[in-house]
Amino acid sequence: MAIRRGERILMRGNEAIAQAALDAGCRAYFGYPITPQNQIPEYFAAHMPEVGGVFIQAESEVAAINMVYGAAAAGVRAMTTSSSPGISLKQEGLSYMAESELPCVVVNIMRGGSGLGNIAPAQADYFQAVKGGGHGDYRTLVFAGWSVQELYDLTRDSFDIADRYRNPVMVLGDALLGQMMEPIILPQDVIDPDDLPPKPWATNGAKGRPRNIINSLYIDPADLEQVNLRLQARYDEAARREVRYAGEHLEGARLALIAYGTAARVSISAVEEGRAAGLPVGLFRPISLYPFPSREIAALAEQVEAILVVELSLGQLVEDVRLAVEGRCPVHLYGLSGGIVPTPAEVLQKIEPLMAETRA
Amino acid sequence: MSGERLHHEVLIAGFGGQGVVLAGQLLANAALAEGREVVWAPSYGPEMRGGPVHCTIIVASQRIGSPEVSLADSLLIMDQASLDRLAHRVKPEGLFVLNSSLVRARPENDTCEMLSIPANDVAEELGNLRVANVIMLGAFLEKRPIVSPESVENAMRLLAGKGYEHLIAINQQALARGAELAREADADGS
Repeated sequence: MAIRRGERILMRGNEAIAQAALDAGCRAYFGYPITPQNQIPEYFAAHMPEVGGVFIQAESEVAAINMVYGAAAAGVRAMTTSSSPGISLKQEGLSYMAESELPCVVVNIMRGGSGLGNIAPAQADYFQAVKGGGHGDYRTLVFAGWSVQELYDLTRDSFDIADRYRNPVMVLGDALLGQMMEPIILPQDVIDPDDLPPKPWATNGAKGRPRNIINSLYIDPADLEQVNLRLQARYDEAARREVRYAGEHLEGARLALIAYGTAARVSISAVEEGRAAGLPVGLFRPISLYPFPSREIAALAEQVEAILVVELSLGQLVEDVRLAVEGRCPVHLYGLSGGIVPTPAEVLQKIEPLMAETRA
Repeated sequence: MSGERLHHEVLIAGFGGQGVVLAGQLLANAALAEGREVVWAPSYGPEMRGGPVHCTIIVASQRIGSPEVSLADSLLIMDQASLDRLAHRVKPEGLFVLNSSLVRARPENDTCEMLSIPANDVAEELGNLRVANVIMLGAFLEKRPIVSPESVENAMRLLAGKGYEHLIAINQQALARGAELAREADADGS
């Protein structure tokens, strides 16, 4: 594969995600086509055979996530991707994998919902991603990129994180980030799956050792409680170790915007226009959505006079922000839905009256 | 390329088969090679063969925030239907480059600069109708030199790939011819 590394090249977000998985040593991809993420399976179809991995276009989303379940149980790095309606179909499998303590990486290139919705950029799957999604007492760890480069980096890291916590990890993008091309630098080093730490729990042949069992059925409540407490302990550890965020122009800011992904891209344009006009406004950008940067947002709420959440959904991210802020400052919402992306000027129009309030 | 601040948003529109997406990718790759920040994004919908298509390209000297182009600095319009659909997507002082072979009516716009290029006719004169997109690109870059023609030619080599090298020469001609037509149009004051 004649891919250039170590220098700027143009790549679509979807392609970068697939390349990141290959570079992370993922050798098993299962998916079912859905717009606007079809370049991901297309890329794997072309390039997975080159590294001796498995690419299967499954007969359905449900089949694909259960193939991931099987591959992960056998100890290989496995992935599936889809877009909103397809991710809904995978929730049962994610719940089973979490309870079975299996790592995998799932990417959701979000589109407008609910239902079949449309194929425009949206962030309306936030709740589904960060609050569990399927049934039961589990979470997926969730990361959201705002550029093609960051989608690559996060997807690649997600395989390590999934293995570390033996839990599904989800990466969120949207129709715009998936489709657009931007400069990206692919690192020279790639992971050889043979060099990865062994997974002593994997069901990869019991010759010479006691058999391993991968299971999510625990009839005795005391047994199930033990598993769920173990999962919870891992989420607590993730909350200490895996929180990621970024801030810009927050020094001296009286109003902080909070946004992720495409909404953050639009917001930083608005913030920079605002700063150029002398408005003390900044941007806080959660990168890990679960674990959520609650402590950092609480600290921010002590520093600014107000917060404006900008999201491509009608009030999902804002709930986690308000839980973190705990009434320390007013939290406002600019939410858009149905695949509508605001312009920086429209965000600025929301900023200006709030700035006037903070001065008063 | 100077140290000046550059942020130019381009929208290219036509129908499927006119090379709208490729023209955008040539521009994006040329900008990348010149060390610019760049975002290329396609129109995305339930598309069909021969149906309406457009793409947007942002070329900038600084980091690009919003990847969405709402109002472009320059509009490259390959046919009348695209003009009717997208004529409003331009900034007040923006530039229209119109393929006058397929655009009959000029947009009603008093503040924008208009450049009309008979791209299809000239492409046929060159011997391949399919280089009309590159003629338009050449004309545009003559007016707004946000990347150099050399960088576009390098991008042609990069994107042509195996089996299509023989098309590079006529595309180079098309790029130069487009620039020439833009200069002539300027001289005519049209």
